[in-house]
Amino acid sequence: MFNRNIFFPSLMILFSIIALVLISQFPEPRYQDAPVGADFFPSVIAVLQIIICSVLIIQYKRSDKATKEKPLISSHAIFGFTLLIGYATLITFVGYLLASLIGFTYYLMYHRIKKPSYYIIAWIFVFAIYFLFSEVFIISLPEGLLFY
Amino acid sequence: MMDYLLTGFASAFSMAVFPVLVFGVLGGVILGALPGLTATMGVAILLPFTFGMDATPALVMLIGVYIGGIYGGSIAAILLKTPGTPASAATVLDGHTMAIKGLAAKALSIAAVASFIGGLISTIVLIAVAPILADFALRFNAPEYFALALFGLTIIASVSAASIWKGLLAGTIGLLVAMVGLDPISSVPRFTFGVMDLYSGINIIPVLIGLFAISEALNQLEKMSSNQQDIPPKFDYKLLSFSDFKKILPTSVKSGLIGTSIGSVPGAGADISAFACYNEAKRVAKNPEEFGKGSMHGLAAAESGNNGVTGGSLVPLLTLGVPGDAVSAVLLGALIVQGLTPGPLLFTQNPEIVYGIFSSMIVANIVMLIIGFLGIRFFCRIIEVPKILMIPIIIFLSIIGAYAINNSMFDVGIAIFFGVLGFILNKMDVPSSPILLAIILGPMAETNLRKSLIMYEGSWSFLYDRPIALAFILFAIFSVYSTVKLKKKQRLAAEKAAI
Repeated sequence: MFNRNIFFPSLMILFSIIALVLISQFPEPRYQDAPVGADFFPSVIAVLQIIICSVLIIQYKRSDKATKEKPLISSHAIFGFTLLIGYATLITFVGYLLASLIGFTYYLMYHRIKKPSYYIIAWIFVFAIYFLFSEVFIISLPEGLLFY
Repeated sequence: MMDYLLTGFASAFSMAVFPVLVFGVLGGVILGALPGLTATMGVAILLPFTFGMDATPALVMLIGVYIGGIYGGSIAAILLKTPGTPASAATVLDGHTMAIKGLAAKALSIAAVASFIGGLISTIVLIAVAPILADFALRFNAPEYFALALFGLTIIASVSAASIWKGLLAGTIGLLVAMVGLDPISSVPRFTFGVMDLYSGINIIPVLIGLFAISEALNQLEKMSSNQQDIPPKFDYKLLSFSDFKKILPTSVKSGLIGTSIGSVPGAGADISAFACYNEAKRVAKNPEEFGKGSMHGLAAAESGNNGVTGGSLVPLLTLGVPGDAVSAVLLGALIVQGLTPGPLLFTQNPEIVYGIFSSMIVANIVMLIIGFLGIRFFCRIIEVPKILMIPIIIFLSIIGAYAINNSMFDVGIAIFFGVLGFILNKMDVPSSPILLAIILGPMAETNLRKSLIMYEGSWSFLYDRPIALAFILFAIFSVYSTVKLKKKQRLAAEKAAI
């Protein structure tokens, strides 16, 4: 059965081993005068990580806690991930203003919000941030590839 | 000196300087409160506006932004668990817990007072002992920097609430992330996979935004949609009482002094200082188990510690002309634009400007305190905003903040990646703070260790034959020992209580 207390440290051990393989493939510098090279620090960290994860697995095995696990990622979290990635993608193409208006409205509609005031606040927020960044602080916001 | 200071105060309250000082502090507070927009960015943004101004108001405005920006980061950290700046990452640990308990107004007032004390002490120290501190900072070479970074890394054990091992795991994740990019000594690419954006390493700000802001938004989204939704705290507007003030005063004074010392060391900034002060306050506290659960001392230590850096970082800049951190590098540019040459001669050739800056720093701290207190009622309203609206606001601000650092969508990707990672790690009870700490200190530790080994031709004797380095290493050992001892004590007490 999937057990996150075993799975996660094991995954980290796997990552550390991959890191060690990658470290062994670091190119040699043209001139090396230092007693330790570019691979020293990452190797030490990767080995430390393996040791720490092994200790975590052993600690869990020794403890006799039979805890009922909740799912690691719920459907609502997946909606959150989608919103993040969708918004970042949309902003790349249509820029901040349009992407934020669409993103915020979609988010409120997804949660079946019927109060018009929430939509108005959301749109005011989007325009307020636009004004604050572009007019007051003169910080450029994403313009979007389509509008270049 | 007193004459110059008094003239400086008169200048600070003049109509030419005071309005720009207030504008600078207020602008800094707003910028600092927005995730991703740091005090450094605020100072850099306002730099071009100072080109046409006289030297004193120009420098005073920039310093106002700096002081306001460091404090502003704590507002979002306390109310939204989203540190506005890396310097406020340690503030989240106790500040947000206080806000959850309904003590948001109190937490904000503690942050304002502690920031004021830290900033004030820092300025006084700057005025009194700047040349001595500069001399101390000049003794720092690679071994001392390595030992300082090592000492900083031991704080990981202290900020790991549930399990030291999980905290250490988070630390190693952060250290590996810090290794991405060109090796600082030999320029060998490491973990870059041919991606050009990775050659310069991973920027700390998108990581901070991801780990704290985005992961928290995802966490809240999940809670909101399930039955575990946080009940909005029924908070009152009760501020810091006089007895609370008396309690936090020693912690704040000590943290302000530590922050000033750390700030005077080039390369060590407000983020390191906040964690170092938090760790020290926890180590000497009568009730260290309260840290991380809404301790006033923890919040005060972090805030005094980060604001203590404001004066300290100006020590090497004004006395030696060496910028200690990014903000002082921008301020160096501002000084040069104004036709001033930072260094020992600045004190003799332009004392009225130097002491004008010092006096204005004291006034800026007072203005920050007033703005902080006046704004508490307004800031607290943020908590009352329905979660359904607040979550997308945090997400959108985070994405824009990550983009604004370098106008790069790559940084947005980094923020999202670390947001998801932070969310998953949170489920595994792996704390996020050690990752951030390791990313800040990892490059400092590695670069200076390797430089030290080159200096000592491969010998590790620099660890014990340099007094300052040895002192930091002993502090590090003592810090780990006391933390492990404390955790053991806490575990035994918990087991006893369970029986």
